[in-house]
Amino acid sequence: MNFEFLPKKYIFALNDIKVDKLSEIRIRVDFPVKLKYLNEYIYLSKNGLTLLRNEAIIASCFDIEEILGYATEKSIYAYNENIKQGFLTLKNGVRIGLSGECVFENGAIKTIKNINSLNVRIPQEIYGCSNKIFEKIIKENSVYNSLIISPPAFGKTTILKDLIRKLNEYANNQVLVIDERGEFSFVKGENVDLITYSNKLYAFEYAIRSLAPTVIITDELSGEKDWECVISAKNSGVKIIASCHGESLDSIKNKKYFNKNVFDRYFILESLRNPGILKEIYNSEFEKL
Amino acid sequence: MNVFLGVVCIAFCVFLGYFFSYKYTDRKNFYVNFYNFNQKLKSEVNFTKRTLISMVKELEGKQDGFSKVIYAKIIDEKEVIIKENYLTIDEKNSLYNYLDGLGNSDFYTQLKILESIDGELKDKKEKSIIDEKRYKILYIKLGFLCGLAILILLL
Repeated sequence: MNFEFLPKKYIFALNDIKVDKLSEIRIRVDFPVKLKYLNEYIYLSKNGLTLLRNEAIIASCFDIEEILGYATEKSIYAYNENIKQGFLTLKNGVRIGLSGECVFENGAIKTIKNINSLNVRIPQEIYGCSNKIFEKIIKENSVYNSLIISPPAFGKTTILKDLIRKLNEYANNQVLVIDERGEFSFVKGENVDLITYSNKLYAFEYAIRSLAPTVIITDELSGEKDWECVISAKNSGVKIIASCHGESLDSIKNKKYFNKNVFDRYFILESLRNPGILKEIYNSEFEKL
Repeated sequence: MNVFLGVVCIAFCVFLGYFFSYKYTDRKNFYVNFYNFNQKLKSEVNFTKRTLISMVKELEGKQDGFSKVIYAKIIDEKEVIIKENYLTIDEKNSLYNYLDGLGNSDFYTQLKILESIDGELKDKKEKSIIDEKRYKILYIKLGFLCGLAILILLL
Protein backbone atom coordinates (compact mmCIF):
# COMPACT_ATOMS: atom_id res chain seq x y z
CA MET A 1 0.00 0.00 0.00
CA ASN A 2 1.36 3.31 -1.10
CA PHE A 3 0.91 6.08 1.46
CA GLU A 4 2.32 8.85 -0.70
CA PHE A 5 -0.94 10.80 -0.28
CA LEU A 6 -0.01 11.39 3.38
CA PRO A 7 2.42 14.00 4.74
CA LYS A 8 6.01 12.77 5.06
CA LYS A 9 5.94 12.53 8.86
CA TYR A 10 2.94 10.16 8.63
CA ILE A 11 4.62 8.03 5.97
CA PHE A 12 7.68 7.68 8.14
CA ALA A 13 5.57 6.80 11.17
CA LEU A 14 3.69 4.11 9.22
CA ASN A 15 6.85 2.52 7.90
CA ASP A 16 6.89 -0.58 10.10
CA ILE A 17 3.17 -1.09 10.39
CA LYS A 18 1.50 -4.19 8.93
CA VAL A 19 -0.81 -2.63 6.39
CA ASP A 20 -3.12 -5.64 6.19
CA LYS A 21 -4.08 -5.01 9.83
CA LEU A 22 -4.80 -1.35 9.22
CA SER A 23 -8.31 -0.34 8.21
CA GLU A 24 -8.62 3.38 9.04
CA ILE A 25 -6.58 6.49 9.70
CA ARG A 26 -8.49 9.21 11.54
CA ILE A 27 -7.14 12.69 11.07
CA ARG A 28 -8.78 15.59 12.93
CA VAL A 29 -7.31 19.07 13.09
CA ASP A 30 -5.63 19.78 16.45
CA PHE A 31 -6.21 16.25 17.72
CA PRO A 32 -4.02 13.13 17.86
CA VAL A 33 -3.94 10.99 14.74
CA LYS A 34 -5.57 7.61 15.37
CA LEU A 35 -5.36 4.34 13.51
CA LYS A 36 -7.85 1.52 13.47
CA TYR A 37 -5.42 -1.34 13.78
CA LEU A 38 -6.61 -4.90 14.37
CA ASN A 39 -10.02 -3.30 14.91
CA GLU A 40 -8.82 -1.25 17.88
CA TYR A 41 -8.14 2.47 17.87
CA ILE A 42 -4.56 3.36 18.69
CA TYR A 43 -2.50 6.54 18.35
CA LEU A 44 0.12 7.21 15.73
CA SER A 45 3.38 8.67 16.99
CA LYS A 46 6.32 9.75 14.85
CA ASN A 47 7.89 6.34 15.49
CA GLY A 48 4.83 4.19 14.94
CA LEU A 49 1.96 2.95 17.07
CA THR A 50 1.55 4.13 20.62
CA LEU A 51 -0.98 3.87 23.41
CA LEU A 52 0.18 7.15 24.87
CA ARG A 53 -1.85 10.15 23.79
CA ASN A 54 0.92 12.61 24.54
CA GLU A 55 3.27 10.86 22.09
CA ALA A 56 0.81 11.02 19.21
CA ILE A 57 1.21 13.16 16.12
CA ILE A 58 -1.22 16.06 16.34
CA ALA A 59 -2.90 16.69 13.00
CA SER A 60 -2.81 20.20 11.60
CA CYS A 61 -4.88 21.94 8.96
CA PHE A 62 -1.78 21.84 6.73
CA ASP A 63 -1.80 18.03 6.93
CA ILE A 64 -5.39 17.97 5.74
CA GLU A 65 -4.62 20.48 2.98
CA GLU A 66 -1.72 18.36 1.82
CA ILE A 67 -3.79 15.18 1.73
CA LEU A 68 -6.65 16.89 -0.09
CA GLY A 69 -4.17 18.47 -2.50
CA TYR A 70 -2.79 15.07 -3.40
CA ALA A 71 -6.20 13.42 -3.61
CA THR A 72 -7.56 16.11 -5.92
CA GLU A 73 -4.37 16.76 -7.93
CA LYS A 74 -4.33 20.23 -6.38
CA SER A 75 -7.79 20.90 -7.74
CA ILE A 76 -10.41 20.63 -5.04
CA TYR A 77 -12.85 22.45 -7.36
CA ALA A 78 -12.64 19.59 -9.86
CA TYR A 79 -13.93 17.06 -7.33
CA ASN A 80 -16.93 18.95 -6.06
CA GLU A 81 -19.40 16.21 -6.97
CA ASN A 82 -17.51 13.73 -4.80
CA ILE A 83 -16.91 16.25 -2.05
CA LYS A 84 -20.63 17.03 -1.89
CA GLN A 85 -21.21 13.36 -1.11
CA GLY A 86 -18.56 13.48 1.58
CA PHE A 87 -15.78 11.39 0.08
CA LEU A 88 -12.81 11.24 -2.26
CA THR A 89 -11.42 8.03 -3.67
CA LEU A 90 -7.77 7.68 -4.63
CA LYS A 91 -6.50 5.62 -7.55
CA ASN A 92 -5.28 2.89 -5.20
CA GLY A 93 -8.79 2.40 -3.82
CA VAL A 94 -8.26 4.35 -0.60
CA ARG A 95 -11.47 6.15 0.30
CA ILE A 96 -11.27 9.39 2.24
CA GLY A 97 -14.36 10.47 4.13
CA LEU A 98 -14.59 14.21 4.71
CA SER A 99 -16.19 16.37 7.32
CA GLY A 100 -16.49 20.13 7.41
CA GLU A 101 -18.99 22.91 6.81
CA CYS A 102 -21.84 21.95 4.52
CA VAL A 103 -23.04 24.68 2.22
CA PHE A 104 -26.66 24.45 1.15
CA GLU A 105 -28.60 26.42 -1.42
CA ASN A 106 -32.32 26.01 -1.96
CA GLY A 107 -32.25 22.90 0.18
CA ALA A 108 -29.61 21.16 -1.90
CA ILE A 109 -25.99 20.64 -0.89
CA LYS A 110 -23.61 22.81 -2.86
CA THR A 111 -20.32 21.81 -1.36
CA ILE A 112 -18.43 21.04 1.84
CA LYS A 113 -15.84 23.64 2.78
CA ASN A 114 -13.34 24.17 5.60
CA ILE A 115 -12.74 20.44 5.81
CA ASN A 116 -11.37 19.72 9.28
CA SER A 117 -11.35 15.96 9.59
CA LEU A 118 -10.67 12.96 7.41
CA ASN A 119 -11.39 9.28 7.74
CA VAL A 120 -8.92 7.48 5.50
CA ARG A 121 -10.22 3.96 4.86
CA ILE A 122 -7.65 1.45 3.68
CA PRO A 123 -9.15 -1.13 1.33
CA GLN A 124 -8.52 -4.73 2.17
CA GLU A 125 -8.63 -7.60 -0.24
CA ILE A 126 -9.54 -10.76 1.60
CA TYR A 127 -9.86 -13.60 -0.83
CA GLY A 128 -12.38 -16.18 0.26
CA CYS A 129 -14.12 -14.00 2.82
CA SER A 130 -17.44 -14.42 0.99
CA ASN A 131 -17.23 -18.23 0.71
CA LYS A 132 -20.06 -18.94 3.13
CA ILE A 133 -22.29 -16.27 1.66
CA PHE A 134 -21.54 -17.45 -1.87
CA GLU A 135 -22.62 -21.00 -1.02
CA LYS A 136 -25.97 -19.65 0.12
CA ILE A 137 -26.68 -17.28 -2.73
CA ILE A 138 -26.11 -19.53 -5.73
CA LYS A 139 -28.87 -21.59 -7.25
CA GLU A 140 -28.96 -23.44 -10.58
CA ASN A 141 -26.60 -21.17 -12.55
CA SER A 142 -28.18 -18.10 -11.06
CA VAL A 143 -28.24 -16.37 -7.70
CA TYR A 144 -30.78 -15.35 -5.11
CA ASN A 145 -31.52 -11.67 -4.74
CA SER A 146 -29.51 -11.03 -1.60
CA LEU A 147 -29.00 -8.25 0.91
CA ILE A 148 -26.00 -8.08 3.22
CA ILE A 149 -26.71 -6.14 6.41
CA SER A 150 -24.32 -4.88 9.06
CA PRO A 151 -23.21 -1.71 10.86
CA PRO A 152 -20.48 0.36 9.17
CA ALA A 153 -16.96 -1.08 8.87
CA PHE A 154 -17.97 -4.74 9.25
CA GLY A 155 -16.56 -5.58 5.82
CA LYS A 156 -19.59 -5.40 3.53
CA THR A 157 -17.58 -3.84 0.71
CA THR A 158 -14.75 -6.36 1.17
CA ILE A 159 -17.27 -9.18 0.91
CA LEU A 160 -18.92 -7.71 -2.17
CA LYS A 161 -15.52 -7.46 -3.87
CA ASP A 162 -14.90 -11.12 -3.18
CA LEU A 163 -18.39 -12.02 -4.45
CA ILE A 164 -17.70 -10.17 -7.69
CA ARG A 165 -14.57 -12.25 -8.23
CA LYS A 166 -16.53 -15.45 -7.61
CA LEU A 167 -19.49 -14.50 -9.76
CA ASN A 168 -17.15 -13.53 -12.58
CA GLU A 169 -16.34 -17.24 -12.86
CA TYR A 170 -19.73 -18.69 -12.07
CA ALA A 171 -22.06 -19.90 -14.80
CA ASN A 172 -21.32 -17.13 -17.32
CA ASN A 173 -23.18 -14.52 -15.33
CA GLN A 174 -22.78 -11.00 -16.67
CA VAL A 175 -22.04 -9.00 -13.59
CA LEU A 176 -22.65 -5.27 -13.44
CA VAL A 177 -21.11 -3.42 -10.52
CA ILE A 178 -22.62 -0.04 -9.66
CA ASP A 179 -19.81 1.68 -7.82
CA GLU A 180 -20.91 5.08 -6.52
CA ARG A 181 -17.70 5.81 -4.64
CA GLY A 182 -14.98 4.29 -6.81
CA GLU A 183 -14.26 1.52 -4.31
CA PHE A 184 -14.49 -1.38 -6.74
CA SER A 185 -12.22 -0.11 -9.47
CA PHE A 186 -9.59 -2.77 -8.81
CA VAL A 187 -12.03 -5.63 -9.15
CA LYS A 188 -12.02 -6.67 -12.77
CA GLY A 189 -13.12 -9.71 -14.71
CA GLU A 190 -14.04 -10.88 -18.18
CA ASN A 191 -17.70 -11.02 -17.17
CA VAL A 192 -17.73 -7.81 -15.13
CA ASP A 193 -18.85 -4.32 -16.16
CA LEU A 194 -18.19 -1.43 -13.84
CA ILE A 195 -20.05 1.87 -13.64
CA THR A 196 -18.11 4.24 -11.37
CA TYR A 197 -19.10 7.48 -9.67
CA SER A 198 -22.63 7.39 -10.94
CA ASN A 199 -25.66 7.66 -8.72
CA LYS A 200 -27.77 4.54 -8.57
CA LEU A 201 -30.77 5.97 -10.38
CA TYR A 202 -28.84 6.78 -13.53
CA ALA A 203 -26.70 3.64 -13.39
CA PHE A 204 -29.59 1.26 -12.92
CA GLU A 205 -31.63 2.87 -15.70
CA TYR A 206 -29.00 3.03 -18.38
CA ALA A 207 -27.15 -0.11 -17.43
CA ILE A 208 -30.08 -2.47 -17.64
CA ARG A 209 -30.96 -1.05 -21.07
CA SER A 210 -27.50 -1.06 -22.53
CA LEU A 211 -25.42 -3.70 -20.72
CA ALA A 212 -27.98 -6.48 -20.17
CA PRO A 213 -26.55 -7.77 -16.90
CA THR A 214 -27.75 -10.95 -15.26
CA VAL A 215 -26.58 -9.81 -11.83
CA ILE A 216 -26.18 -6.30 -10.44
CA ILE A 217 -23.99 -5.73 -7.40
CA THR A 218 -24.24 -2.45 -5.53
CA ASP A 219 -23.11 -1.17 -2.18
CA GLU A 220 -24.96 0.78 0.52
CA LEU A 221 -28.60 0.89 -0.31
CA SER A 222 -30.04 3.83 1.54
CA GLY A 223 -33.22 5.74 1.08
CA GLU A 224 -36.33 5.33 -0.97
CA LYS A 225 -34.75 6.06 -4.36
CA ASP A 226 -32.14 3.30 -3.97
CA TRP A 227 -34.87 0.82 -3.13
CA GLU A 228 -36.95 1.91 -6.09
CA CYS A 229 -33.95 1.18 -8.30
CA VAL A 230 -33.55 -2.36 -7.02
CA ILE A 231 -37.30 -3.02 -7.30
CA SER A 232 -37.25 -1.86 -10.89
CA ALA A 233 -34.20 -4.00 -11.66
CA LYS A 234 -35.76 -7.04 -10.03
CA ASN A 235 -38.92 -6.53 -12.06
CA SER A 236 -36.74 -6.54 -15.17
CA GLY A 237 -35.54 -10.00 -14.27
CA VAL A 238 -32.05 -8.98 -13.13
CA LYS A 239 -30.69 -10.46 -9.92
CA ILE A 240 -29.51 -8.05 -7.26
CA ILE A 241 -26.85 -8.42 -4.61
CA ALA A 242 -26.61 -5.37 -2.38
CA SER A 243 -25.53 -4.22 1.05
CA CYS A 244 -26.93 -1.79 3.54
CA HIS A 245 -26.24 -0.45 6.99
CA GLY A 246 -28.23 -1.92 9.81
CA GLU A 247 -27.93 -3.71 13.13
CA SER A 248 -30.31 -6.51 12.25
CA LEU A 249 -33.02 -7.56 9.84
CA ASP A 250 -35.63 -5.80 11.97
CA SER A 251 -33.75 -2.51 11.68
CA ILE A 252 -34.12 -2.77 7.88
CA LYS A 253 -37.74 -3.99 7.94
CA ASN A 254 -38.70 -1.00 10.06
CA LYS A 255 -37.62 1.45 7.40
CA LYS A 256 -40.64 2.91 5.65
CA TYR A 257 -39.28 2.21 2.14
CA PHE A 258 -38.47 -1.43 2.84
CA ASN A 259 -40.09 -3.79 0.37
CA LYS A 260 -40.32 -7.44 1.35
CA ASN A 261 -40.72 -8.62 -2.24
CA VAL A 262 -37.22 -7.76 -3.41
CA PHE A 263 -34.74 -10.00 -1.67
CA ASP A 264 -34.72 -13.79 -1.28
CA ARG A 265 -31.88 -13.86 1.20
CA TYR A 266 -30.77 -11.59 4.04
CA PHE A 267 -27.28 -12.01 5.47
CA ILE A 268 -26.52 -10.39 8.82
CA LEU A 269 -22.82 -10.05 9.55
CA GLU A 270 -21.38 -10.54 12.96
CA SER A 271 -17.80 -9.69 13.42
CA LEU A 272 -16.04 -6.37 13.52
CA ARG A 273 -12.76 -8.26 13.34
CA ASN A 274 -13.11 -10.38 10.22
CA PRO A 275 -15.34 -9.83 7.22
CA GLY A 276 -17.51 -12.76 6.22
CA ILE A 277 -18.52 -14.07 9.64
CA LEU A 278 -22.22 -14.63 9.41
CA LYS A 279 -24.50 -14.12 12.36
CA GLU A 280 -27.79 -14.98 10.74
CA ILE A 281 -29.32 -15.83 7.38
CA TYR A 282 -32.98 -15.29 6.55
CA ASN A 283 -35.11 -16.21 3.59
CA SER A 284 -37.72 -14.06 1.85
CA GLU A 285 -40.31 -14.95 4.52
CA PHE A 286 -37.86 -13.79 7.23
CA GLU A 287 -37.40 -17.34 8.44
CA LYS A 288 -33.98 -18.11 9.81
CA LEU A 289 -32.02 -20.58 7.70
CA MET B 1 35.63 55.52 -41.38
CA ASN B 2 34.01 57.90 -38.92
CA VAL B 3 30.75 57.61 -40.79
CA PHE B 4 30.99 53.87 -40.56
CA LEU B 5 31.69 54.08 -36.83
CA GLY B 6 28.88 56.51 -36.45
CA VAL B 7 26.44 54.21 -38.20
CA VAL B 8 27.64 51.34 -36.02
CA CYS B 9 27.06 53.54 -32.97
CA ILE B 10 23.56 54.39 -34.09
CA ALA B 11 22.80 50.72 -34.60
CA PHE B 12 24.28 49.88 -31.23
CA CYS B 13 22.40 52.65 -29.44
CA VAL B 14 19.14 51.63 -31.09
CA PHE B 15 19.80 48.06 -29.95
CA LEU B 16 20.51 49.31 -26.42
CA GLY B 17 17.28 51.27 -26.49
CA TYR B 18 15.44 48.14 -27.58
CA PHE B 19 17.20 46.12 -24.89
CA PHE B 20 16.27 48.53 -22.09
CA SER B 21 12.69 48.59 -23.29
CA TYR B 22 12.51 44.83 -22.96
CA LYS B 23 11.29 44.93 -19.39
CA TYR B 24 8.04 46.42 -20.73
CA THR B 25 7.78 43.50 -23.15
CA ASP B 26 8.40 41.07 -20.28
CA ARG B 27 5.75 42.80 -18.20
CA LYS B 28 3.29 42.70 -21.08
CA ASN B 29 3.95 38.98 -21.67
CA PHE B 30 3.58 38.35 -17.96
CA TYR B 31 0.18 39.98 -17.69
CA VAL B 32 -1.12 38.66 -20.99
CA ASN B 33 -0.29 35.11 -19.90
CA PHE B 34 -1.56 35.68 -16.37
CA TYR B 35 -4.85 37.06 -17.65
CA ASN B 36 -5.26 34.25 -20.21
CA PHE B 37 -4.52 31.61 -17.59
CA ASN B 38 -7.06 33.09 -15.21
CA GLN B 39 -9.72 33.10 -17.94
CA LYS B 40 -8.94 29.53 -18.87
CA LEU B 41 -9.00 28.39 -15.26
CA LYS B 42 -12.36 30.07 -14.69
CA SER B 43 -13.71 28.14 -17.64
CA GLU B 44 -12.24 24.88 -16.37
CA VAL B 45 -13.62 25.40 -12.88
CA ASN B 46 -17.05 26.21 -14.28
CA PHE B 47 -17.35 23.60 -16.98
CA THR B 48 -14.72 21.02 -17.84
CA LYS B 49 -13.21 20.68 -14.36
CA ARG B 50 -9.78 19.75 -15.63
CA THR B 51 -7.21 19.60 -12.86
CA LEU B 52 -4.73 22.40 -12.25
CA ILE B 53 -1.81 20.06 -12.82
CA SER B 54 -2.94 19.11 -16.31
CA MET B 55 -3.54 22.79 -17.18
CA VAL B 56 -0.19 24.00 -15.91
CA LYS B 57 1.70 21.17 -17.65
CA GLU B 58 0.70 22.82 -20.93
CA LEU B 59 2.85 25.80 -19.94
CA GLU B 60 6.00 23.68 -19.89
CA GLY B 61 8.79 25.35 -21.81
CA LYS B 62 7.13 28.78 -21.98
CA GLN B 63 9.61 31.48 -21.13
CA ASP B 64 7.42 34.30 -19.83
CA GLY B 65 7.66 35.14 -16.13
CA PHE B 66 4.15 34.02 -15.19
CA SER B 67 4.38 30.59 -16.84
CA LYS B 68 7.75 29.91 -15.20
CA VAL B 69 6.51 30.92 -11.75
CA ILE B 70 3.28 28.94 -11.85
CA TYR B 71 5.02 25.88 -13.32
CA ALA B 72 7.58 25.95 -10.52
CA LYS B 73 4.84 26.27 -7.89
CA ILE B 74 2.34 23.69 -9.15
CA ILE B 75 4.43 21.10 -11.04
CA ASP B 76 7.91 21.35 -9.52
CA GLU B 77 6.39 22.12 -6.08
CA LYS B 78 9.23 24.51 -5.34
CA GLU B 79 9.13 27.39 -2.92
CA VAL B 80 8.64 30.23 -5.36
CA ILE B 81 10.58 33.48 -5.06
CA ILE B 82 9.40 35.99 -7.60
CA LYS B 83 12.43 37.82 -8.92
CA GLU B 84 10.79 39.56 -11.83
CA ASN B 85 12.04 43.18 -11.60
CA TYR B 86 9.21 44.56 -13.69
CA LEU B 87 6.73 43.81 -10.92
CA THR B 88 6.21 46.03 -7.89
CA ILE B 89 6.26 44.56 -4.38
CA ASP B 90 2.47 44.76 -4.20
CA GLU B 91 2.15 42.96 -7.50
CA LYS B 92 4.51 40.24 -6.28
CA ASN B 93 2.48 39.84 -3.07
CA SER B 94 -0.70 39.68 -5.10
CA LEU B 95 0.85 36.92 -7.21
CA TYR B 96 1.98 34.99 -4.11
CA ASN B 97 -1.58 35.15 -2.75
CA TYR B 98 -3.01 34.04 -6.06
CA LEU B 99 -0.69 31.04 -6.25
CA ASP B 100 -1.43 30.07 -2.65
CA GLY B 101 -5.14 30.19 -3.36
CA LEU B 102 -5.04 27.95 -6.40
CA GLY B 103 -6.68 24.54 -6.07
CA ASN B 104 -7.17 24.73 -2.30
CA SER B 105 -10.74 25.86 -2.24
CA ASP B 106 -14.10 24.37 -2.99
CA PHE B 107 -15.66 25.06 -6.37
CA TYR B 108 -17.60 28.19 -5.36
CA THR B 109 -14.81 29.83 -3.38
CA GLN B 110 -12.31 29.09 -6.14
CA LEU B 111 -14.53 30.70 -8.73
CA LYS B 112 -14.99 33.78 -6.51
CA ILE B 113 -11.23 34.12 -6.09
CA LEU B 114 -10.65 33.93 -9.83
CA GLU B 115 -13.45 36.38 -10.59
CA SER B 116 -12.24 38.84 -7.95
CA ILE B 117 -8.90 39.27 -9.65
CA ASP B 118 -10.30 39.32 -13.17
CA GLY B 119 -10.86 43.08 -13.45
CA GLU B 120 -7.45 43.93 -12.06
CA LEU B 121 -5.71 41.53 -14.43
CA LYS B 122 -7.57 42.88 -17.42
CA ASP B 123 -6.56 46.46 -16.54
CA LYS B 124 -2.93 45.51 -16.00
CA LYS B 125 -2.85 43.53 -19.21
CA GLU B 126 -4.24 46.39 -21.27
CA LYS B 127 -1.98 48.95 -19.62
CA SER B 128 1.09 46.78 -20.10
CA ILE B 129 0.30 46.40 -23.81
CA ILE B 130 -0.03 50.18 -24.16
CA ASP B 131 3.13 50.79 -22.12
CA GLU B 132 5.14 48.27 -24.12
CA LYS B 133 4.21 49.94 -27.37
CA ARG B 134 4.83 53.43 -26.04
CA TYR B 135 8.12 52.82 -24.26
CA LYS B 136 9.55 50.57 -26.89
CA ILE B 137 9.13 53.31 -29.47
CA LEU B 138 10.45 55.89 -27.01
CA TYR B 139 13.55 53.92 -26.08
CA ILE B 140 14.32 53.07 -29.68
CA LYS B 141 13.96 56.75 -30.61
CA LEU B 142 16.18 57.77 -27.68
CA GLY B 143 18.72 55.17 -28.72
CA PHE B 144 18.65 56.50 -32.28
CA LEU B 145 19.08 60.08 -31.08
CA CYS B 146 22.01 59.08 -28.88
CA GLY B 147 23.60 57.25 -31.73
CA LEU B 148 23.01 60.23 -34.01
CA ALA B 149 24.61 62.57 -31.45
CA ILE B 150 27.68 60.33 -31.31
CA LEU B 151 27.80 60.25 -35.12
CA ILE B 152 27.69 64.04 -35.22
CA LEU B 153 30.45 64.25 -32.61
CA LEU B 154 32.55 61.83 -34.58
CA LEU B 155 32.04 63.82 -37.73
